[in-house]
Amino acid sequence: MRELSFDALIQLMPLWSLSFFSFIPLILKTLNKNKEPHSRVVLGIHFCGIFTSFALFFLLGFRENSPVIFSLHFDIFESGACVLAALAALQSFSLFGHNRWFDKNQLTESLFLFSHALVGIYIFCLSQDLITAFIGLELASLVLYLLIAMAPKEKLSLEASIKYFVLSSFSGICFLYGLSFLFGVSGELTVVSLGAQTNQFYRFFFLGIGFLLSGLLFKMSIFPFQFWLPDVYQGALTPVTSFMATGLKAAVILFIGRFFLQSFTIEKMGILLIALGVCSVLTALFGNILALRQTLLKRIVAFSSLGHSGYLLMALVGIFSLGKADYFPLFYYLVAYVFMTGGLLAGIQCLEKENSQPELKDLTGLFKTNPLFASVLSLFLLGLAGMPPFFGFFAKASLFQPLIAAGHWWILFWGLVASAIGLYYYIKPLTYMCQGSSSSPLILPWSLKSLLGFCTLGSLFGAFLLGWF
Amino acid sequence: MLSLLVFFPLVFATLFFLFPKWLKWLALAGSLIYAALAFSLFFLFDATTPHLQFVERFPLIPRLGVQYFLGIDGLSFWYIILSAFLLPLVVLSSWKKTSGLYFFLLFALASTVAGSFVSFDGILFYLFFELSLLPLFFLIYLWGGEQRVYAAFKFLIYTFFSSLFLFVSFISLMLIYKNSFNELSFSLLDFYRLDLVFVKEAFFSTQSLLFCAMAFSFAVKTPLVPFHSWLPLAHVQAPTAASVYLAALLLKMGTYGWFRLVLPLFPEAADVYGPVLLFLAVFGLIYTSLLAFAQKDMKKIIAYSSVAHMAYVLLGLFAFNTYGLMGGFYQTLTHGVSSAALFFLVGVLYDRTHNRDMTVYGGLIKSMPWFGILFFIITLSAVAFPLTGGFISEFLTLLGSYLSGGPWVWFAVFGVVLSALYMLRLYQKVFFLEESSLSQQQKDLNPRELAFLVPLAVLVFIMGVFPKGFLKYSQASLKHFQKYRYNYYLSVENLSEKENSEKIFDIESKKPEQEESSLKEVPLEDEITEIDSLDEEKLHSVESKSRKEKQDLVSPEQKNEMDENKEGSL
Repeated sequence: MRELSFDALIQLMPLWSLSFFSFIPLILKTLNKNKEPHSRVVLGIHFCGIFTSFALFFLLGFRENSPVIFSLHFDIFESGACVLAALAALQSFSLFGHNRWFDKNQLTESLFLFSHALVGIYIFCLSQDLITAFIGLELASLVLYLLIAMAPKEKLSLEASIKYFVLSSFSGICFLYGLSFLFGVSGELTVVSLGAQTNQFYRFFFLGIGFLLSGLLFKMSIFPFQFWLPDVYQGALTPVTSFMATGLKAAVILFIGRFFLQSFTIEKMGILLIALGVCSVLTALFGNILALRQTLLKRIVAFSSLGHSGYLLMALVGIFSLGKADYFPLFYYLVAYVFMTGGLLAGIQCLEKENSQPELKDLTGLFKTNPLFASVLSLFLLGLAGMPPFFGFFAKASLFQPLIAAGHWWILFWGLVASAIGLYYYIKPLTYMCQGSSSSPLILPWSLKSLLGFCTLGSLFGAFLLGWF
Repeated sequence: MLSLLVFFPLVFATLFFLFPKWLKWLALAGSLIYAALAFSLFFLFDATTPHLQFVERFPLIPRLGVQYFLGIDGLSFWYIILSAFLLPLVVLSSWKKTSGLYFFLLFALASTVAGSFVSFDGILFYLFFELSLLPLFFLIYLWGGEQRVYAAFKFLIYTFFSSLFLFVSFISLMLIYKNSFNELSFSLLDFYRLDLVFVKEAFFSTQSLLFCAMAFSFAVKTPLVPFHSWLPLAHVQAPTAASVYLAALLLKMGTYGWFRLVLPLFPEAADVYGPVLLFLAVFGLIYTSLLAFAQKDMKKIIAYSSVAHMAYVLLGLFAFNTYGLMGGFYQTLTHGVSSAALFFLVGVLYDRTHNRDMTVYGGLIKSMPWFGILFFIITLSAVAFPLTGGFISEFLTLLGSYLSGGPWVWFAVFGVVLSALYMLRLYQKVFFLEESSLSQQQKDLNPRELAFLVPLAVLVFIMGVFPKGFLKYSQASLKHFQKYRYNYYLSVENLSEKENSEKIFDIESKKPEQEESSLKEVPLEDEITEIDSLDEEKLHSVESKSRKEKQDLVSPEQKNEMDENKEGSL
């Protein structure tokens, strides 16, 4: 551990600048006798905060052999994960501005919390030891419990919050329990040095890893731990759903990848790898099959995100088996996923009405009334289905590579089956949009328009831009 | 040039939304411009070389090895022409439609079809291959018959699932290429250079696994019999224009896949597993012919006959000799024309009566004589009657299959008889017999309908009497295909000569024992009598004519090849 020097402060700037910016509106509100400042001011300041941290990661991160500060490490991979989380946060943050279900008087507090969820994710992504990772993850989760409950007009919101709170804190305990096993056996907590100790007390080690992993898999809703997901996604505010579906998920999967690849070799993974493979297959199938019968758009997104978690874990199994730290497919897919899911949820928020969640039948006639909006939505849907020529397709092409290279044919086969099933529910909203005519065209606020435009650009050209790196 | 051919319809189609007033005229103008563009290839295309022309190539996603790589050769040339030829006809046939989306989807379909025939990068090929499903899905879903929802989804999911296997095999090939040459590439030309391990005894060798994956995806697309069930349904429910494109071009993507990918990439596996596919093809040929015989729905009969006709393509292809290859290839073209025409014809009738059941008609020839005549001409082609394109292709196919040995041809000839049975039955039920009240009310074809039916009927004749004019453009490619079957390669035409010759030299020296192109000099007379024992004396004049043409096609190259083989063995 190093002392707090000026260099360290500079290096930590993305984190504290975000925190700093998020305090400003809170202080303004306090000084203003607890009266809410103008929402544009609050949103603007928070946008600055998130964007600054996003930009600072590009400036300060991505270095080879960067120092470890407070067990936070700013290497290429870790910074990449943070950039991805920041991107997801930017997208979901933009949804706060025009959410009908959201109590505008709580804007300052909510955004303060939201920014700190991002700080938590940053810490989690950058952490070099398990304790720090735990702190980061729990910080993010704690904030999310509150944020999920902040949709007063939705009855399900409280239920979702309680559900998530109980289950998620249980998974946190699992994580902690596994961590204590690992510490007890090896006396080490840093990711890198843990692996060196694996030979002693092999069984306890395994037990520890198992607990740790189940805690993490819960957060990204892999098969045996996925039941909370649709209810929570439905109950939460759309921006919160968006952040959970994109930012949190990306951070957790990247952490799992980093943790295992830096700590273990394949021989030591053994049966764990097969278990992960089975989980991934079941997740993909479960998500895609259950999505077939859904009518609420948000639930469709929830199950589709479940399916994508499955694909991601499949690729991770492939990468583990190859034993090479080539994360490009994972990142590439995640960027595509973040753009498309973020965009889709933004579209869903546009469809939200005062008293009902958007359903499939609300899409009727959208091609006639809002042709551009409808085509943008169908772009996201087709992209998520992996249809060419969108980002999702190229992402899938890169995602299957480690799996094929490692020769996991059975996982691959079920992955193909799942994505063929998935096509049905991604196309179904499109068929609604083409038919009939709805009453009046939707009017979209400019912030949502620009967000949709941003996501569209990302899903159209992201594949080609990223492909040059 | 090729980018223009691929993207012109798609870009042009956006005009339909901007100027909805002139929708149809715009569509017609656009399709005619497109046809003119494509027909200009006749003058620009060099028919003497089997290699790629008009190549456009630059990296698209270097990190994944994806390139933008378009090219055209003798195998893909005709499909582009066919697509461009059909587009104006399709527009004319759907003159009553008023939706901009409908015409947009048609044009988008033409774009994707063209794209998949000229892409020489695996991922790009797959991209267009998959993308072609979407316009067709919406055409069926939005403008189809009563069962359109089920039909559209079955079509989409079935073909999507099967083509995912193609996707996986492309990625596998890329990884194999990466391991052996240490660079990323999805280019088909690079894939041809791969030497894939094949162990005859073991199923789990690289080549046989990949062969099975690809064969499955193309078997669904072609379609071969156990995987055909999406097709009749989709055909029956689809609107006329979609049926036409589906039969004429989307099925050809399947057969094109065998020509372009499966056989060149996995020659040894194709040798070993060929009989299985041939069995499926021949079984399907007879099975679907019988099924067609049992149908009342006119579109269903034509759909099943499509499956049967596609079986001939495989029959010819897996004969691996010149006749079979040419016949199989020609079959794709003649079927493209005749099945398109049949769907147009049924569509014309359906527009008037909204009834596809053939038993409600009868005696239609009295009220619609022109329609009857055109229908008759196309029916002749579908039953492979001499003087029509169908005859040449099926004759060549059967001849090729006979020469290559094997029992298949003996079963396949029954397909010809059966096709005559069900098609003539269809014709009899609709046009002859007692005149029904429904038939009496019908008016004959109007000029618009004649405008899109007559060109097809004329073309059927031209294809029947002048096959050389068509095969001329693909001959070099097919020859090349057959000659280098075990070490296929293609190169880009405008590379420097030295580079090309070096490559050829490399590949040829790799495997000197690549003879046995099964071009034995067999006396032709014996077979012809057997194959055509069903037809009458009339044929003889035509036969001798077509035989001459075939000899013309074959003999000079054949000699050269024999010479080369001799040198090789020395």
